[in-house]
Amino acid sequence: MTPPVLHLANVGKSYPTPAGPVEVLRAVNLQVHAAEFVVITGPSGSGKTTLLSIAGLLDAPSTGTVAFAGKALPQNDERALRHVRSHHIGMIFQRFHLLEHRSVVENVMFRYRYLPHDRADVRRRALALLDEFGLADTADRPARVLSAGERQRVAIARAVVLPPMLLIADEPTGNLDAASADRVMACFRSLHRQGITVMLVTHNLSLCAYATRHLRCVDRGLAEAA
Amino acid sequence: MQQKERSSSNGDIHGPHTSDSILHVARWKLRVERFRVPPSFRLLLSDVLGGLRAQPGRLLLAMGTMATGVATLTVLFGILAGLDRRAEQLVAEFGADTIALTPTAGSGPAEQTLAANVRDVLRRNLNGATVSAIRRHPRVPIGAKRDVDVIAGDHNLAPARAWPLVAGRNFDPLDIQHAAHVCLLTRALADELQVGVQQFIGLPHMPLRVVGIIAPSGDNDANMDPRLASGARFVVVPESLPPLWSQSDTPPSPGADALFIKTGSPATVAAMLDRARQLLHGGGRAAAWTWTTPDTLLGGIRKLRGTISLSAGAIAGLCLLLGGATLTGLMLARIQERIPEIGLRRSLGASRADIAALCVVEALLVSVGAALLGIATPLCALATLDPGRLPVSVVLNATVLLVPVFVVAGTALLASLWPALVAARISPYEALRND
Ligand SMILES: Nc1ncnc2c1ncn2[C@@H]1O[C@H](COP(=O)(O)OP(=O)(O)OP(=O)(O)O)[C@@H](O)[C@H]1O
Ligand SMILES: [Mg+2]
Repeated sequence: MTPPVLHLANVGKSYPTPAGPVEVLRAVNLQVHAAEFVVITGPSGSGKTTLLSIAGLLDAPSTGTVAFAGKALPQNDERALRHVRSHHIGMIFQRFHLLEHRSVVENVMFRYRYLPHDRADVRRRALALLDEFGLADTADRPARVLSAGERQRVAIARAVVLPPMLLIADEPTGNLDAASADRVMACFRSLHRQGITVMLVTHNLSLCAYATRHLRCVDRGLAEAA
Repeated sequence: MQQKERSSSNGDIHGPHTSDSILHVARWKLRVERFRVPPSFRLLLSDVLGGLRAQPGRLLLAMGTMATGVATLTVLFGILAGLDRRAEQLVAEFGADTIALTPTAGSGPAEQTLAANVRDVLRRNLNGATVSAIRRHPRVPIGAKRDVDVIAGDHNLAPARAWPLVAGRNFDPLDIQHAAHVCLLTRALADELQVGVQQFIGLPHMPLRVVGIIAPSGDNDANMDPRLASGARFVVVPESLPPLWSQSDTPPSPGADALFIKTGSPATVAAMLDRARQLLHGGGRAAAWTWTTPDTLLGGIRKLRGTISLSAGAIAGLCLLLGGATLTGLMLARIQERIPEIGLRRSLGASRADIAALCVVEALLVSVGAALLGIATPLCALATLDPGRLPVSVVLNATVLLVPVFVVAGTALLASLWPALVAARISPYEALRND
């Protein structure tokens, strides 16, 4: 049987504060399998972003282990972490994090910045993807002139121009109006249909309609929602 | 580095193609492993330039500050190089292996003149040296546009002063012995009078036959005692000739205005000087003379050079400190603004070293740009100014232009280390949080 794309075992996370350590996650166990669309909801401050950053290998858990595609990733193995991050994980943020002064297509191509690549080929891919997301006309405009909804679609294109094994999105529609959110979610659905594994955090319960699995972040842990 | 790392850790984790359900994304799947490595430095450079383009105002401010420092340094180094060249010319004209004696001003009238036997004492006792005395008669009219100096000496004078002969011959001992009506002309003067060897020039009350033409490296200098300097235009006559042409009312005293000892090699100047002093001291006359050697001639220039070196050093230090501090502050501020970008880069696989390199290369680029601007300014200024009107000579050679560039680049390197460390330690998670 194929190992899960992501396996968090007994993961705990606490932050040191002047008033002593604050425990945000405790003994979280999570297996995300290929082609799943996992939506995580929960109250503010419940640790969703913390969980995603551990899943995205941007932050180390205080306790427990993280395995990716069946391979354990010790937190001190910076090279292995970096390899998985750059090759197999796509990340999308509430604030898009585009390079404002670069063109849209360059922002998408930036996915390959730290990977060896053929520029012309990557550019072709990026343009095709922008076309698919309805952004073909904006390709050569600087990212700063785009609307929020367009920016988020550019960010998604950047995350998937190298098809990831795991696509992680933290409140991708948090800064968008309903119409833009719908277009963004349509992108996610299309990506999921193409076989990409998605892990998405949101406050918008209506997005659960897209999910194959719905988890709630409560009491420093994760629970399957109905 | 990227490439190596990839191939070493690649293969343990299987891509989406291992899962049947997502096989159809293969049309997107790029085989990143096999492509040629991009010139990663070109990417780094375009990253840095892109980042700088986003903030041209700040960039110009920082560059302006540094460029001013570089321009100042360049000019100071240029003045130092100019002084060095000046010193070389001065020594070349005076003679690197030459000692000159001139009567000390204010010593008694008897001491003002060189007793004839001083020259003979030196000549007899300084083995290997050429000794000669001169008597200078200033401003003698000879029918040229300007009056000239007439210098009376013997057959040893031209060799002692290392005046190269370009035509004809030097005086011979018989010329001196018989007070022959002959003379040597400098080339400049011969050209001006349009006379050649065997032709005559007319000094007041005395026509002289030109026997030789000499080419002294004549370039009179304010630093040199006028009695020691040879201009480009003068006439040399046998010392035994009665100075009928002299304009001065006082009858000429027996003796000379200056005495030259050519030791034959710069290395023997010091020893020869000691020996000559001993010889004259024995006669109780040493104090009546001012001794000039290439060393004493350069004393003033050396002092000036020291002062300028000190101020150049101080300015370089200040540049280093101020420029470095400005740059560090600028870089730290830029890093604060670029925290999300740094987080993004880390999430895309940048290592800490990649982030640090971004800072260091940015600082180097700004500083080298500033340095180029800083050396271009004095270069342009010098090109448009008339060098004759500058109070000092400024020489801008490769060394002078490169030293400030390296100084500034070194400063930038040091100044960017702390910001680079700060940037490298930014946690990608903190950098990318939404709040
Ligand atoms: N670096 C940190 N130091 C201390 N506490 C932190 C740190 N990062 C997060 N926290 C705390 O951890 C808790 C969980 O934060 P997290 O951002 O994961 O919540 P969240 O579920 O994403 O909330 P939201 O829905 O508002 O985005 C919060 O109480 C937060 O204050
Ligand atoms: Mg959050």
